[in-house]
Amino acid sequence: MNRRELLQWMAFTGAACSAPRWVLAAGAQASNGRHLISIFLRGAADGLTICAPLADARYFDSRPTLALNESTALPLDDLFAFHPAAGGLKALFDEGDLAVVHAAGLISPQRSHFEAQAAMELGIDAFDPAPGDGWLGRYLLGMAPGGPLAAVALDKAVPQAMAGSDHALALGAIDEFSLQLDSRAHGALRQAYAADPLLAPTAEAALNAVDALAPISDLPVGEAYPAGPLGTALADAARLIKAESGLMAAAINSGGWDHHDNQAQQIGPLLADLGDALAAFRADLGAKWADTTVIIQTEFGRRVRENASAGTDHGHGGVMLTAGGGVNGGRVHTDWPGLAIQDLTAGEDLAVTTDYRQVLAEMLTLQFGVTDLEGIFPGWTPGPWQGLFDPVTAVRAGVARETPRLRPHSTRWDHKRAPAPQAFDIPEIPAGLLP
Amino acid sequence: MGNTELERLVRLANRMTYGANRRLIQTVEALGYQGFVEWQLDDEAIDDSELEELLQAILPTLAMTPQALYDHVVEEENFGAPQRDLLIATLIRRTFSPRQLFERMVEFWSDHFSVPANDLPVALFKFTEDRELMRKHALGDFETVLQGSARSPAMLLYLDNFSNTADGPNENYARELLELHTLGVDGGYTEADIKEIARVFTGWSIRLPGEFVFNLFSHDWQAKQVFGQEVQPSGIGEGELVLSVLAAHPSTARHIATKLARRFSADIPDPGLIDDVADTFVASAGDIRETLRRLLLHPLVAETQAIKFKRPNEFVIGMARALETELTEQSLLATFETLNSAGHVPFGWPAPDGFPDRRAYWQSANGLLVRFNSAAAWTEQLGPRSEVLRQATAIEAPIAQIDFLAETLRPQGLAPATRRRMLRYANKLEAPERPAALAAWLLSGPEAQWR
Repeated sequence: MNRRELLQWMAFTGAACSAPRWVLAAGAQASNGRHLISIFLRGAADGLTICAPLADARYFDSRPTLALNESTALPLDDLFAFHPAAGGLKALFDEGDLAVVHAAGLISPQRSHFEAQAAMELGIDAFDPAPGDGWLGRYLLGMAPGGPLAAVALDKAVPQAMAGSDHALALGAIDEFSLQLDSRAHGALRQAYAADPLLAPTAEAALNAVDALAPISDLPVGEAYPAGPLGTALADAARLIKAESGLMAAAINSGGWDHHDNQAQQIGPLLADLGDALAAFRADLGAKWADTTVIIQTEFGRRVRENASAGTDHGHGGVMLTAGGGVNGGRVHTDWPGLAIQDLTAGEDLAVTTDYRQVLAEMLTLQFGVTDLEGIFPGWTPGPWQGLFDPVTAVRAGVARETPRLRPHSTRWDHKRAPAPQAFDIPEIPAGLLP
Repeated sequence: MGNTELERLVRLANRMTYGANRRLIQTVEALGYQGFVEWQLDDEAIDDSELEELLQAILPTLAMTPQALYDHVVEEENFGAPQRDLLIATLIRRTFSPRQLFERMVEFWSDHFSVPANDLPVALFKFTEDRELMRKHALGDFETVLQGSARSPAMLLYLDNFSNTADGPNENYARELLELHTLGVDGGYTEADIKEIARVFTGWSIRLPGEFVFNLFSHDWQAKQVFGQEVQPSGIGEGELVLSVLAAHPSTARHIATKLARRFSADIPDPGLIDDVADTFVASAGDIRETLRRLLLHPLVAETQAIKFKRPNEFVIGMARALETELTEQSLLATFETLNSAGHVPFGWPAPDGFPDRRAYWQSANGLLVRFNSAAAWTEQLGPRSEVLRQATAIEAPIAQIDFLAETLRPQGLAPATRRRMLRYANKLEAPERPAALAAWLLSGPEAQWR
């Protein structure tokens, strides 16, 4: 078999696989016009620092150097407080626009970053057989097909969570997404790619998205976002929503949350960035905040007892955050397992009392009108709703809010996530070297 | 496009280098595939002195001792130098080195023992690690690389083992050592093994300006239980023993064989290929050259179609090589900008698992757009620096020019339908713009994305 025959064969089998999707699409649910923003904190963010159980004395025993200071932490209720740097999160929380789900995660402990991220993106428990597509991908597949910008990753690549959706588009950043080709080259490339069934959908999507994005890149970028990848991504998501581009779901990554050492120095700036970016996003969206649901996940929580490097090793239960116009905000939702040794997973990690899928399922059902959860989380049935979200019919009308005050954001040197240099000096090179 | 021997040789050359060009194809045709593999495997016999002399001349940091480098970077405040110079040297070597397979293996181990050089101290140590470990042993002995990586200040700092002490073990390195560097996630270990191995490596730390030190006083001198065996306290010997056991473990052989087969054949390699390569890894006690020979000469590699989607690195460097673009500041910057837009700057992956090696990750709208733009910019702006485009421009007859470009940039041949599309496109172009536009079309087209 030569490569062309092979491609044809793969396209044929691929076409066979996709046949049921058309059947599915015939009865598909129409998008209800809401926007799902999924943010993944890569590296396992420490739930016990983001939202600390200050009223539990064992917390201070386990975290002699890392425990939050009671006088500076931002209290949420009788038990919990936010990290002092999370002022942006606290403002959203106080106004009922953000909630915490604590002691959430994979039911089966999985302390490998890569395995735990994969399980959560695929929408399964750790060690379950892996499906070929992700939970967001399956959600999008169940919807009536949208326009070229229905499902985007504001990143270089489509995350596993979106795998399976034929139209998921990795945009990178909107302002960099342009094609420097004239119409003849554009047309000739389109024809060339039509002959490669494996690459054609992606090439087609890229070329179509260039046209669809042109009016969106003309929109001004919202103000007050912190500098950095997360602020840029949320500002782009806001432009897609404000332009009524047909965005159904956007996936965003935030890196640098793996703090085995010097956690206190590293996590503060990240939490300030997260809170400020979300607060700016809400202000930027105005009335459209009411039509938007943000879900924030991380692969697991960290060990209760800090290590000798003033950091934390891999643990189990962690936090999820929900935000948007339809969340039951201003609350820490939790069946708190406690920090007594007998209550910890393997005697050392916070237990998981809320399956992360419970949060996703309740969100998809109440906010996005999903009726077929079995199609998204096969073989798993959610428990009773936990009151995390308002049903979509009851979502209150958006009220434009005053732009929250944001602290000035200095460029920081965060060694785990500093980007590659944007430009560099190049030494003078003698002429004549050929490959 | 027929199944000619030339097509096969071009495909295999593309697979084990950073891209075929006229000179490389002549060589592989002269030597035959097996001869070509043997030639590339004997890397030290390939003269790369011209390139290395040029690199030493433009990048004085390459020859500095760790102390001199530390002084240059820290005392003289050249903070960006290690990251910049390592990047420049790497991009130049991948493009211009005659030791192509060797450079691919340096990249393989840099991915496998991933250390992002994104901050000053790690970049400083990574700079030396690249020279002293990866480039010395890329085709050598696996255990040597593993033992070296465990002692490498770059790895010790990145995965926090430098602060792993008896008082408070830090498990970061132990976990990734098992999951990523050796056994693989299903390789047969427990959480308890991770904790015990973390204790084994207590006291393995760093001394400035950048060397390994074993700190007696922070080592845990109690016995440990690793894989059900008791490890008696002996200090540094405990870690050396554990690394030897891991290097010789059949799960490690399978893990390395799978990753090599994925890099050089297919995203999901044939299980029979993995078995055979793992067998050779075991039989040769982790001899990387022997293992690679088995892989590259295996019928499941030598006789199969090109189904690997090029990573951005392979795309852009392959383009520079195919066009025979002279090394200039501008070509270097264009390479960097493409890789930066595509998210594939060497030593820039932020996690310890290294850059992905699967089409599912790299085939994205953003990824293809970067390639389209890169090919267009490269052929237009760097055209005068490209030997191939200079020669094409000198050909006046349109059909002869088109054939020259097709034969040079797609030596494995054009399918008749592709040739028809190329002619149609050529008809729309003015003569002065034609060579660059056709070259860009060939280089950003679908056939050029596979190896």
